[in-house]
Amino acid sequence: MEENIIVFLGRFHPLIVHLPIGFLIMAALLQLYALKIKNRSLNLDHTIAYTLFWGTLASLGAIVIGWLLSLQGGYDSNLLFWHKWVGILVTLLSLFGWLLKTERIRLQKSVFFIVLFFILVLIGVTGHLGGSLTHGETYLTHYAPSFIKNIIDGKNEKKNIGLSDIDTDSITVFPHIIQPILDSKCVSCHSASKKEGGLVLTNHKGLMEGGEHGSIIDIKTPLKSILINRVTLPLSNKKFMPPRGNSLTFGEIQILEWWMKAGADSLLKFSDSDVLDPKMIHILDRDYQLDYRPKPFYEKVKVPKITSETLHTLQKNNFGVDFMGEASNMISITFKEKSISNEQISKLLLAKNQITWLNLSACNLSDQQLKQIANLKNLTRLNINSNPITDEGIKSITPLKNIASLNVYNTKISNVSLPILTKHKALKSLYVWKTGITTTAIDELSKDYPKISSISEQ
Amino acid sequence: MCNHHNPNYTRRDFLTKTTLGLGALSLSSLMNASTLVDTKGAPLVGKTHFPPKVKRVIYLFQSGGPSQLDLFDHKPLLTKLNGQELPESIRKGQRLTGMTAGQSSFPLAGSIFQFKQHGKSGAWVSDRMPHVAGISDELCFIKSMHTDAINHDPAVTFMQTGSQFSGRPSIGSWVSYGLGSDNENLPNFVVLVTKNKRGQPLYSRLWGNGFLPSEHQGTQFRAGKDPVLFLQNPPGVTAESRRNQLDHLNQLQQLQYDTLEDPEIKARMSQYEMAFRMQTSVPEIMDTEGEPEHIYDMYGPDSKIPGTYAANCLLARRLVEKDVKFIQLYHQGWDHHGGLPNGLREQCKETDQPTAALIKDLKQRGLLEDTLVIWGGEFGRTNYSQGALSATNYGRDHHPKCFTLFMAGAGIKKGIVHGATDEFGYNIVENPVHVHDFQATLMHLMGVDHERLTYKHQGRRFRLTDVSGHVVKDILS
Repeated sequence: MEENIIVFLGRFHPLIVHLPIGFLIMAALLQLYALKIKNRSLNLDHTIAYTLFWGTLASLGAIVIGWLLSLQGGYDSNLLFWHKWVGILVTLLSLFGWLLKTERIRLQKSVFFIVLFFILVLIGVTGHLGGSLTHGETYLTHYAPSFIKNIIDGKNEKKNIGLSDIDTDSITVFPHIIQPILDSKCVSCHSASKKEGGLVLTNHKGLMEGGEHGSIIDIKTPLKSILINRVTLPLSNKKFMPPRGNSLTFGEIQILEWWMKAGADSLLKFSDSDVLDPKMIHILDRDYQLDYRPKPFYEKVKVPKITSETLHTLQKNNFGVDFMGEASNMISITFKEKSISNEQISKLLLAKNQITWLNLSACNLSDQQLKQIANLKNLTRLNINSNPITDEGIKSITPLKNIASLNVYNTKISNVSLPILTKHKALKSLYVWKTGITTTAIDELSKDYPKISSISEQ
Repeated sequence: MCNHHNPNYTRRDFLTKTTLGLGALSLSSLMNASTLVDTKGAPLVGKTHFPPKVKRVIYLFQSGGPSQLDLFDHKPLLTKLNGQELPESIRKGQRLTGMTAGQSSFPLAGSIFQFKQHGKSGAWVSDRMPHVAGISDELCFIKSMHTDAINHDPAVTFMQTGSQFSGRPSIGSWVSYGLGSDNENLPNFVVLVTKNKRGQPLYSRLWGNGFLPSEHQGTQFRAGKDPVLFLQNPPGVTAESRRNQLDHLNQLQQLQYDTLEDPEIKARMSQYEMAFRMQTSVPEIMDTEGEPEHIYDMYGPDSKIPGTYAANCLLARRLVEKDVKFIQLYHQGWDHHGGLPNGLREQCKETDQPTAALIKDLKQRGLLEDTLVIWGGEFGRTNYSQGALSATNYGRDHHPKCFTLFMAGAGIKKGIVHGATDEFGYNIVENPVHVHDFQATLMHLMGVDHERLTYKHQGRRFRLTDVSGHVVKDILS
């Protein structure tokens, strides 16, 4: 076992620290008692001073030992800063209190009470900070009733949930987008109480029923619907809607049109269908900050985060590790040496679900080693260029179903590999420059599998 | 006299924290204190905000302001109205440089070069850039770039650092600081400048680290015997004795650091170590003799002459292969106030083929999957002629209101044209992209939220995009 006298002593801090707390609270209690009994014959001043004296000494000890503990590192630096300095402040205040009580410093009597009061408050503060350092900041409130949590998080102020708080998969077109448009631009006239033109636009039912002139929507030809017609007339036209206030924006009209075309169902979600075209994606992003761009694989697959030990092991074995952003636990790995060992390869399996991009270019990777790679099932991008890989190796990675980009440039593979490679259903880019694969074979491949673009000499 | 101070933890830090924080102290720890008193924006090594689609950048900086009107922004109307006055309805009193502000006439100048549409995207490229035209389906043209500066130095500084005033870190330095290194044997940020070019001067502060720790400044690799100045051991000093010397020096530095805790000492130590490793890694990179003949053919005849743009493009590819994060090339000489046709011919001859070759070479190696190549200058050029306009000759003044830049590679759409200018090629009419927007997009592609990568200096948190910048989502793939 390793020995470290500093850490050993430091770990007594949580124990020692209760001594000054006890002494100082005791001093306050004695003072309270002295005020209450008002017995002139019983003078507690000496006792209080004595308690403060030991409180000062004990807190000094706690500070020294706490400082030793902090040398070990690993604490939140901000919390530690406050804990340390408020602790020091408590010690100084109790020393000051002792000086006052023993009349080494003569000041008004009320000063002592103020000092004592601050000692108590600051003990509470630094004690809480110390607890947060050891147990984590959420320790205290983790099991608190929700109303307390709400106060702490300030969540009770946010009654209106913005669209950004909802997962894009859960956004329903009518209640989340269409109804708010109607609410802000139409219902001041078309409500149940006003009902102009016999039209109620406060809910889906009213919108579908229409008004005096019949249905205002048209699922087959939305542009011919009364709704779209009235909001797109020239501004000067008497029938233009809304007659007062802001007109509907281009984006709003586009969404109305799109929604009608999609069936005008009240439960339709943007994520339900494949009908979101690039234009709609753009409008939703621009006007509502909703991201409906097709999600890449690494954002769709949910995997647990790799442990810090795994991260360390990978880095120690000369793998560069990048996370795929905050929204994903997937990782991207680049090997940094010129030659890779079997042991290093085996370390990759520690993160076999998380690795989605893997760069093992020019590291003397063998067919045998490539077999191990076949276990990394969430791999979407594999770069094994400039390695002594043959068709054998390519065969062994067929289990990798999600590969979208494969770089085998400058390897020994030949035309034999092409039929095997086409089994990777997700494959889009294939880098085959400086291999045995011939131009005619590539041409044939792109004819049969137009989705795969093979990149060779440019 | 007391010269001792602790730069890691200043008196100012202490006082700010205690005076500002003490009042709100008791609640602050409950209510997430980190938002209240933030410390220096920490680097994100390995933990980017977004997926790092781009892992390396090659920025081909065309210094001087290439004429977009003669290369990519095809304006037939200018040819039609050649020699007629620039209408005031277009210029709208916009400020001009002192070089043409006094001109009594502003004759519109159509390009004398022939334009054609290329590739599936139908991008317009002039006949001066045949090789680039040939790869137009790989490229994303932004025709609606605009900048705040009207003169070279502030404009280049703006493009490189996000501020017209000197002293801020260059993009490459931000990237190095924020994302760390992928190759411990080479600098993270390498600068290559075309040799023997005349034109607007370039200063090393353009690739400077500003207030960031100094190991993040760009390292210039020069052509010739000494690629990095003062890197090689002097005659008679062996690698072993250098190692021995460095070890002892490090011990001394560490002692000094223990007393002063000045982070610059650490920076210096890491740079000494880097220099030692570079003594072997740099000659390896610079020695292009092993490159096959067909690669030289691709980059063009200049590629065998060290220090040319072509040779630098080839070097850039070699650096990218070694995982250098940010490579900045500079090619001067695009400042064609007069004699534009001939000047442009010369510039294009030097740059067209190597630029296209670099992109193709990266593509065939699969490197375009995670490398971004950027081509562009600091501003555009005017649609009217500076000086006399003749059938074969004209010049163009600086024009900050629109210019063209193109990119190729990871994370962006291929074969698209983003943004548009009016028929006169003077104002932007569609999707303007400000320099800060471009920088924000670049950072986004590298996985960084440009608003969150900050560095506190002199009491203020600085970022590359200053106080603005929006990611251009339309060009992201």
